[in-house]
Amino acid sequence: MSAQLINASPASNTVEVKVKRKPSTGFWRTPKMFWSAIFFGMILLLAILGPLLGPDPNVIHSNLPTVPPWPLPGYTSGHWFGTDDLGRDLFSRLAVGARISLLIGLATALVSVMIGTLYGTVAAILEGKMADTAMMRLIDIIYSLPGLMIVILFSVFMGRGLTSLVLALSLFSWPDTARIIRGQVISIKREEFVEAFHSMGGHVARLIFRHYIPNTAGLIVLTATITVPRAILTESTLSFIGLGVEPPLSSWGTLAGEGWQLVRVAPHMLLFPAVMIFTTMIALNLLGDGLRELFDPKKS
Amino acid sequence: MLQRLLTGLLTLFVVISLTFVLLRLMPGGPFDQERRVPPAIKANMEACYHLNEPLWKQYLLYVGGVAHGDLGPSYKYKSRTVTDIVGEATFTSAKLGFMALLVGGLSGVALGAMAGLSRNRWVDGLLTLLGVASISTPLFIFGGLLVLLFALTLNWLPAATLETSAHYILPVLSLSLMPFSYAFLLTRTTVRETRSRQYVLIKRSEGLSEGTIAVRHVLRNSLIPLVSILGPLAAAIITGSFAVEYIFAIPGLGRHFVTAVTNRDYTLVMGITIVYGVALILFNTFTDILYGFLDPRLREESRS
Repeated sequence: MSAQLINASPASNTVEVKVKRKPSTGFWRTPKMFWSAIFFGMILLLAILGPLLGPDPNVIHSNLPTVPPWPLPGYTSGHWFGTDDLGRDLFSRLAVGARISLLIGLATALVSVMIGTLYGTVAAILEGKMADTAMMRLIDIIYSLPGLMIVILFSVFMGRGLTSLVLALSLFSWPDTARIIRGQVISIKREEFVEAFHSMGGHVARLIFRHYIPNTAGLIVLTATITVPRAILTESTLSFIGLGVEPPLSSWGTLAGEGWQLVRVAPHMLLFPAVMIFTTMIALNLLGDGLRELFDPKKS
Repeated sequence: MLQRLLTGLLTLFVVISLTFVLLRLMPGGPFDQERRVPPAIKANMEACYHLNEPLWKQYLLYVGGVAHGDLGPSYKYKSRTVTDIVGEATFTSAKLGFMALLVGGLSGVALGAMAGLSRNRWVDGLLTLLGVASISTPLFIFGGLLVLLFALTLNWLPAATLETSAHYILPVLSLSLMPFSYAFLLTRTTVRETRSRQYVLIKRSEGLSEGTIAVRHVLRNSLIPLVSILGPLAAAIITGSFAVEYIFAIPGLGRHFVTAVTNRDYTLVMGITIVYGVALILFNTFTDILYGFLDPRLREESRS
C-alpha cells in the first residue's frame, strides 16, 4: 500500500495496462492448475454421467441398510461406497448430489457474474456522478447485511427449489464481481483508444460490449471461478442444517447432513460427501488461485 | 465518521424492513402448525399479536418497539420475550465467537508469519497447503469430523452442548477455522510483501540480525492490514455459528434462528437478524476507526 503512495507518479498507469495482457501460454505449466483442472473435470464428468455409472440411486434396498463401504467387513459387492439408511447406493447418490451441487455453484456464478459485470460497467461509466456513488453505497449496504440469514429467508420465501436458491445465493455474490469489474473498467476508460472512440462519435453500448467487457474477460472468468466454490460452500452448509434444497433433490450438503444424523451408526455416510465437498473446494480454490496469479499485475 | 454512522443506520433500516417484508410474505403463519385451532381462537390469537392489522401498521408498531429496545413477544415460547431469548443466545454465541476469533486469529498470524518468513521451500509449501486446505473446508465438515474423531472414536472430549470447559474445546476449535484461514493467508502475503521493502533491505545492510528485522520491522508493519479483516471475520463467525451451533446443539443465535425460521416465529427471526445486523455494523465501524488510527496513510487516502 505504501509503495503505491511512494510511487504515486503517472508511471503507475503502466501497471493497469499490463492487466489486459492476454494469458500467456504458461496456463497449464503450473502443476496445481493442471491437476485441479483435471480433477474438476472428473467431478464434472461424474455429475454429467451421474447415475449411469452406478445402480439407480432411488432404488430402496430395505434389506441392505447402512452397508459399510469396501473393504470394511460386511460390505456388499455392487455397493462399493456402501448404502444409506434406506439401502440406497451411496455412490449413485453422490453422483446425483454432484449434479445439484455443481449446478447450483455454476448457475450462481453465471447469474452473479452477469449482474455484477453489467452493474460494475455501468457504475464505472458513471464514475464520479451521483448515480455511481449511490450504486456503490448499495453494495456497501449489501456487504454489511447478515448474508446467510437473508439467503435463508429468501430461499424459504421462494420455495427452496433450485432456482430460488440460486437467486438467493446470487444476491450476495454479485457485488464482489461488480466491484472488481468497476475498478477494471475505470482503468480502461483512461486509455487512449477510448478517447479515440468517443471522438469518432461511437455509441456507448458498442463501447461497453465491444471494448469494456472483452477487455475485462480475464477478470470476469476469475470472479466466476471464485464465486463457484463460495456458492457450493454456502449451499452445502444450508442443506446440511436442513434449510437448503428440499427432497427429492439432494446435494452433497444434504447427504452430509443425513450422514451427520447417523454418524454413530454409519460414519461413511458423512465421510464420503465430506471428501467430495472438500476435494472439489480445494480444486476450485487452486484454480482460482492460479488464475489470480495469472491476472495479477504485480506478478507479471 | 458521520457518513459511516448514517450508512450504519441505513443498513439497519434495510435489515429490519427486508426481514419484515420477507417474513410476512412467507406462506403460512405462526399459528398454522400442529393441530387445527377453531377459527375464533385463531383470530383471537392473531389479534393479541396485532397480526390482524394492516401490514404498514404492524411495521410501524414493530419499528417503534425496536426503537425502545423491545423486540416483541415470541410466538412459540409463549412465556418469554424475544429480547430475553436473544439476550441469552447472544451471550452464548458471542462467548464462543470471541474465543474462536482469539484462537483462530492468533494461530493464523503465527503460522502465516512463519510461512511468510520461511526461506525453506518445503516449510512454506506445506504451510501454504494447510492454508488452502483450511479455506476449502466447510465448517460443518470440519466440526463433524472433529466430533467423529475426538468424541465418538477416541472418546476424549464431549460431543455436544456446553456444560463444562471441556465442552468448549471442540466448538471453539471448529469455529476458529475461518478466522484461522483468513488470518493465515493475509499474514503470509503481507509478510512477504513487507520483507521485500526497501527499509527492510536497509536494516539488513545495517547489520541487524534476521530475527530482529523479522520481529521489529517486518511483523509490525505486516500486522496493520490484519485489522481490515476484522469486519469480514465477524461475518465469518456469524455464518459459522449456524453450522457449529447445529452440530454441537448449542442454544446460540444461529441455532435459534434455524428453529425460528422453521417455526415461523416471526419476531424471534427478526430479533436475531437485527442483533446480527447491529453486530456487523459495529464491527465494521470499529474496524474503520481502528484502521485509520493505526495507519495514518489511510485517513489521507479515504479523504481523497
